[in-house]
Amino acid sequence: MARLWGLLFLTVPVAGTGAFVWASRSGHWFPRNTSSFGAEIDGLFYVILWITATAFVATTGLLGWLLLRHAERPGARARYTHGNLRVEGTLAALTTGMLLYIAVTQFGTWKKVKFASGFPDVPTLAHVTAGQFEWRITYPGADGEFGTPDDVHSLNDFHVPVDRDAVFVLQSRDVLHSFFLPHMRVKQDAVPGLRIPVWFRPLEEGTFDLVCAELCGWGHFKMRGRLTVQSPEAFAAWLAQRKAEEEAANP
Amino acid sequence: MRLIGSLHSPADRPAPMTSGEHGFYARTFFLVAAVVVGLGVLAVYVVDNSPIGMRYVLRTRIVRGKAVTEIPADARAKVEPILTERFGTPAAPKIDLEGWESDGARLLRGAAFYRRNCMHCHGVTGDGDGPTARFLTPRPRDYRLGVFKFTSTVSSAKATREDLLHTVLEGMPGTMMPSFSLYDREDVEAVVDYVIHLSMRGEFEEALAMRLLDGDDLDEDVVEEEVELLVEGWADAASSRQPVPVVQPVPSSAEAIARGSELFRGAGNCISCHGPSGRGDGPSVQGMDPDVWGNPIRPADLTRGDFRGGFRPIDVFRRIHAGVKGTPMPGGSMTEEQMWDLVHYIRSLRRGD
Ligand SMILES: [Cu+2]
Repeated sequence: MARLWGLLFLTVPVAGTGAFVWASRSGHWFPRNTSSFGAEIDGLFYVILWITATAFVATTGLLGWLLLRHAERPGARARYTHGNLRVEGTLAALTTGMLLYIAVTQFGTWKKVKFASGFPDVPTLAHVTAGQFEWRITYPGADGEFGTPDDVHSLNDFHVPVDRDAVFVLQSRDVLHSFFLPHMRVKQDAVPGLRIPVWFRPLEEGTFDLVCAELCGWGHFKMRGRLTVQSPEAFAAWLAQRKAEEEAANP
Repeated sequence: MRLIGSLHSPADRPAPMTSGEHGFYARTFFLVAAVVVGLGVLAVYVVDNSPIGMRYVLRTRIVRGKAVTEIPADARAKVEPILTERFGTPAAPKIDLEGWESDGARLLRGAAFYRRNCMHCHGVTGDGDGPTARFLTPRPRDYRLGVFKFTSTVSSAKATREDLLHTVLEGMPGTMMPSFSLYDREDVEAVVDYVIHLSMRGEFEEALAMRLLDGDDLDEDVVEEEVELLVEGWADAASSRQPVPVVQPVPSSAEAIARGSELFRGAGNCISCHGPSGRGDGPSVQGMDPDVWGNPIRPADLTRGDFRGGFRPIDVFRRIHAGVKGTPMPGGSMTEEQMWDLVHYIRSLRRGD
């Protein structure tokens, strides 16, 4: 019976590793990266994944192996030990080293992606306002100013020009939401009362998912959006068409 | 303390587990896991497929503005079979009314979509009182009165299919009604059918109950009469026989806005409710009767720009022409040119976000 427990514990590292291998080979992995800094984000992800995966497999494997090895040995007495300073010290130093390594390697990317000082110096493309349970997007129109009559509005459909830096301001009108563009490797919480600048540069035309990644209420599941990346000409045409629809004076 | 003690003092340790105990714990673990997974699967199945606990319940009291009518149990018992015969159940909805075309398969599809996305606010019967409704201001629409606020039809007419479709696609800014623009169009069309089904059913319920309370018997003639009235109202709106007429608009200009401002303060008498600055804080709101759903009146803050019925000139024109149905916001009694001046003025009140 004790052997069964050992095997049961061993299924954890085996099934855990298996799930990752299977997921990465059958389309359940990251969607294709289509943003300028996405590869860096993915690189950081893999650094952390390999460190944690190694530690995970090693510790759970060791636990299973010990359980199996010492199971059901008639006559053997359990022995009581109380710690080992050398082993514990080494493990603590290793962990500290790993954490410091993770912290230091992401400085550059973090500054580029999240720090206003690292942002590209371009005019704000849009205001994106999250609310239960939709995304409302406002473009400044021809005058470049928000809150003027020539603003253009869109609902759940965020259009951006390809190969340009898209800098926008994220806000929330009610509770916490999270603006998530999986293909662009962009995820940012929308916090009521804060205006948070966000940016990315899409490298490919097409339509991509925009989802809310923060449980924001009962209707969270229906908070769907779409990112449309198009050529600058098509983007301008779309803005003009939206504006015409908004100014519709005839049915 | 006992546990920590046992870890640190060998003498105190409990006896090792016997293989019988191991077996007991292993069996219990797998049993509990199986029950949890089973319940989860069952819950998903019930929500998606089964109308367990979901049936159309008749109203015990019908509210229309200030008027509240209690419907006694014996009256409900007489109305219920007729309603079920005509409108079916949530699991098998139908609209069985002479002169009204309806597609059973689409209604069923609409009902399924409604259960997933709409019911938690709008309720099983469309009463606007689902489990999440109590947390919302403004309250979700109660469809059962057959009244919808924002339509393209004249003030005396019902909503068209397109009006309801527009609301589902665009949502209602400033409320908790979200946009479903990115959902499968077939689903959205189907759910509009289902909302009309709920709305007709609620109206029919009210009509029959009122006939009973008036002392009529619900014999075939009376039922047919009410069916005819109901279908006529919806068919008139659907056939676009009663749209708000749209004239060539007066284009927006400083002069048009100035004329609109004059009307807003003067002949239009908009300021009595919407206030001199358009913030919805006019003096007449105090002590005003509730709207047709029994909710208190809150005039729109016109400076916010997130108009429930839309901010397009055509939307604002329709509001001014036909009013906001079910509320004290009246249809305008001025020329269409004047209405367009008002449209331009009101749209100019929007502040930045
Ligand atoms: Cu959300």
